Amino acid sequence: MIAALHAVLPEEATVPIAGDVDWSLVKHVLDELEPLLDNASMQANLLFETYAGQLKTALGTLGVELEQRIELFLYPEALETLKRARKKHSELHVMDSRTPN
Amino acid sequence: MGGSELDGVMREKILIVDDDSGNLAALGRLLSSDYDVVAAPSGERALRIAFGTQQLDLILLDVMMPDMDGYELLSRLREHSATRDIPVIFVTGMDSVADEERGLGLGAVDYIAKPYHPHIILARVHTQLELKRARDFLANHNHILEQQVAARTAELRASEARFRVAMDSMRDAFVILEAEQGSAIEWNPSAARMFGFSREEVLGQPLYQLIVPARYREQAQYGIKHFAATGEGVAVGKTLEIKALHRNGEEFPVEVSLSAMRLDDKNYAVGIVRDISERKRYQAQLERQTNFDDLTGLPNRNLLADRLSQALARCQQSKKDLALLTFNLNRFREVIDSLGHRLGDQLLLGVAMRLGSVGDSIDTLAHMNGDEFVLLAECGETGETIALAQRVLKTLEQPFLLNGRELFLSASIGIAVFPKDGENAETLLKNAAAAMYRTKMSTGNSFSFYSAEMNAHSLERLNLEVDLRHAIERNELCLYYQPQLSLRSGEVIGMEALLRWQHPVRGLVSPLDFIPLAEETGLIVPIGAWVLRTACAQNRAWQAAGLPAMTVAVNLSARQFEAQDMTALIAQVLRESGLDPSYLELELTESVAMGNAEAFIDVTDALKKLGVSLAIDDFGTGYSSLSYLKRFAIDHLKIDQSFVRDMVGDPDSASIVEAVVGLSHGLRLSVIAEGVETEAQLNFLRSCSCDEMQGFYFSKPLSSAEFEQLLREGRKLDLPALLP
Repeated sequence: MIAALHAVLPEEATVPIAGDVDWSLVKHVLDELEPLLDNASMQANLLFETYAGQLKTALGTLGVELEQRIELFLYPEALETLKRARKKHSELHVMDSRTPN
Repeated sequence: MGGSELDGVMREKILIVDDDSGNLAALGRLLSSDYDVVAAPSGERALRIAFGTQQLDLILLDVMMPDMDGYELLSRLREHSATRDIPVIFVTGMDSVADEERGLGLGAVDYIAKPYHPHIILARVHTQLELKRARDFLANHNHILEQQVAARTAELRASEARFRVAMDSMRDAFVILEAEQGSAIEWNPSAARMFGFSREEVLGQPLYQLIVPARYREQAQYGIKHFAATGEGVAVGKTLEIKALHRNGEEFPVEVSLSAMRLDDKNYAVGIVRDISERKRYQAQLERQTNFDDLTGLPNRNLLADRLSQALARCQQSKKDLALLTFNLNRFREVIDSLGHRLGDQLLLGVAMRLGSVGDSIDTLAHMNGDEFVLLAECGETGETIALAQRVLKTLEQPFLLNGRELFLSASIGIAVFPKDGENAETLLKNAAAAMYRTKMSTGNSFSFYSAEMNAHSLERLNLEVDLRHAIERNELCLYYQPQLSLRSGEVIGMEALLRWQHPVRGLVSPLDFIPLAEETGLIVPIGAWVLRTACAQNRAWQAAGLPAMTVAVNLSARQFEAQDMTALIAQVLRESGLDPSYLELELTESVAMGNAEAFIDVTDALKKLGVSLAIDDFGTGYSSLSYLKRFAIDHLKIDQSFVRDMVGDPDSASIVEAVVGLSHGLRLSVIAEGVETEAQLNFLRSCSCDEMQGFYFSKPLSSAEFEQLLREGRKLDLPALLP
C-alpha cells in the first residue's frame, strides 16, 4: 500500500508547501489514515510523517494537533482531530461524498 | 494467526505497550518492516485493543506504567480466554531477577531488559512468533483432529444405532458372548422374550444354564474355553439344534447358528438363536399324519412298511417265523350303510382298541384302508399263529355297543408266514390278502393260511371285476323273469326280475358269483339302475303288446340308496318307460329296512307316494322289529326260501312260515313264498293261507322271450283241491 501511495504522490512530499493545497491528496491521505488510527496501527505514524507538510499546510492548527497526537500514540484522540478537520474543511466535505474505504 | 495482509503477505500483528512514546516509536520503527505493529501508550489502551476485534500475535509490554503496570495488564489478559494465549514479552528497565521471575511467573514468555539490542529484540520476537505459529498449527491441527474424532464418533453412534435397531427388530435371538468368561455382552429383545430374561439380567452373566440337558452345559463350557484360547470351535460356522430352557422352566427346541468374531485381541462368539417349537410341532404332526392313522391312532400303511421291513430283518437274523395277519370285518359295509359313517368310525375305533389288547406277541397292529387291519407277530410255531388268529376272532365276537344297540361283528383273516409264504413285504401282504379273500368267500369269521393256489383265485376275482365293469356297455347283462302266482287262482299275477350275466367266455355267470363283487366294488349302483330301467321298459312293452298287465318286482341294494336319490331315480325311470307305477314292486332286504329304520320309514313313504308297491325280501333271515314293521309303508312280505325248503319236514320252519303268514295278514300285508319246488310245499303254503308263490314248482326264471311265450299261452297253475 505504501508503495502504491508513493507511486501516485509527487516527490519530496515531506517538504512543507506554502502554495496551493492539493485537497485531493489530503483527502486521500486522511482516508488512509483514518482506519490506521482506528486500529492503533503504527503505520499511521509513518503515513503522517510522510505527508506531514501537506497535511499541516492544508489543515493548519488541526494538522499540527493531529501530528502531536499521533507522535504521542494517542490514536483515539488523533482520530477525533481528523474528524474535526474533515468537518472544518469544506474541500474535504465535497470529496466526502465518495464511497468510504 | 492474527496478522494483516500487506502486498499479499500475511504479517503477524504485534502490540507494543509503553507509556514512553519514544520507546514506542523506537520499537515500532524496529518492528514495522517485518510486522504489523499496533501501539498503546497505556495499560488501559492496550486492553481495549486486545479485547477488540484485532487478532494479536505478540505483545511487547513495558512494566512500569502509571495507572496500570505491565504485571496487572498481563494478569488481566490472562483472565480472558480470547487473550489468554497471546504470548507476552516484557521489555523493561526493571532488570532484577525478582522482577524477571515475577514477570515469567505471571505467564510472560520472555523478559528483555532495557537497554536492549535491536537484534536481540528481533531475534526473540521472531522466536516467540515461530513458537506461536507452531502452537497455532498444533491447535488447528488438534481442532481438525477433534472435528474428525467428533465426526467419527457421530458415525459410530449412528452405526451403533442402526445396529441396535436391526438387532432389536430381529425375530431371532441375537447373542454375543465374550469367550474368556463365557458371558453375554449382547442380548436383544427377541432373546429376552425367548428366554424370559431381560438384557439387564443377562449381560455379564454366563449362559450355560440356558442349555439342556445338563451334560451339554459342560460341553459348552469346555468348547467356549477352547474357543477363547484358539478362536476355533467345533460349533463355529455351524447350525445346531439343541434344547433351551426358558426362565419358567419350560424346555423348547432352538436352532443356534454360531460365528466367531475377533476384536481387540479377544474372541467373541456371535449366536443367532431361533425358536423352532412351531417347526418341530409341524414336523411331528406331519410325521404322525405320514405314519399313523388319524382315526385309530394305529400305524398306517406307510409305517407298517417300515416296521415290516425291520421285522423281516430281525427274523432273518433270528431264523424265526414272522406271521402277517390281514383281516377285515365281515358285513362292515352293511354297518356303514345302515348306521352311517360316524358310527362306522366309532366301530373301527372300538375294534382298534380291542385288538390292542390281543396279546404281547404282537409286533405291530396297523390300520390300512376302511375296515382292514394288519397284525405282525414273530411266531415260533404254526400253533402260535393259529392261537393269535383265534384270539383276534374271539376278541371281536363280543358285541359292540353303538348308539344304544348291540352290534355283532366277525372278521375274515388271511395269514402269510415269512419265509414260507414270501420273503419280502410286498409278497407277504399280497399273499395274506389272497388268504383273507379265501376266508371271506368261504365261511367268514375264520382264518385261512395262504396257499399258492390262492393267488390264482385272487387273479380270477380281479379279472371278473374288470369284466363286470364293461358288462353293461358290452350288453352282456340281461334279465330273467320268474313268474309269481296267486295261490288262490293259480294265475300268473307278477314276475320277479332276476339279473344274469352272459359272459362271452365264461358263459352264464351265477349271480352268487358277481352280485357280491358288484356290491363290494360299488358297481351295483349303475347295474341296479340298468335293471330297474330294463325291467320297467320290458313290462311296459309287454303291456303295450296286449299281454296281461302285471307287476314286475325289482330287487334294490342298500348301496343304491346310499349312492343316490332312489326316489328320484325311480320316478325318472317310470316317466321314461311310461309304466304305471302300480305295476312296479321294489324288493328290499330286511337288513336294509332295519339298519336305519327311521330313515327307511321316510324312504318308503316317499316311494309309496310314487304309487309303487314295496316288499321286504328274504323275510325271517335277519331280525325285524315288529313295531317298525307296522310303520313301514310296505305291501308284501316275502318268506325266505330257506324256510320254504324245510317247512315240510321241519316243524320249526313250518311254524315260522305259519307265523309270518299270520303276522302279515294281521298287518294287512300279503305274503309271497319263494323257492317253492314241490307239491307238498305248495299244499302247506295253501293250507296256511299264504297268498302267493314263486319257484321251480311252476317255473324257473325265464328269458324275456320265454316269459313272453308263457304269457301268450296263458299258462297257469292247476291247483289241486286241498285236503281237509
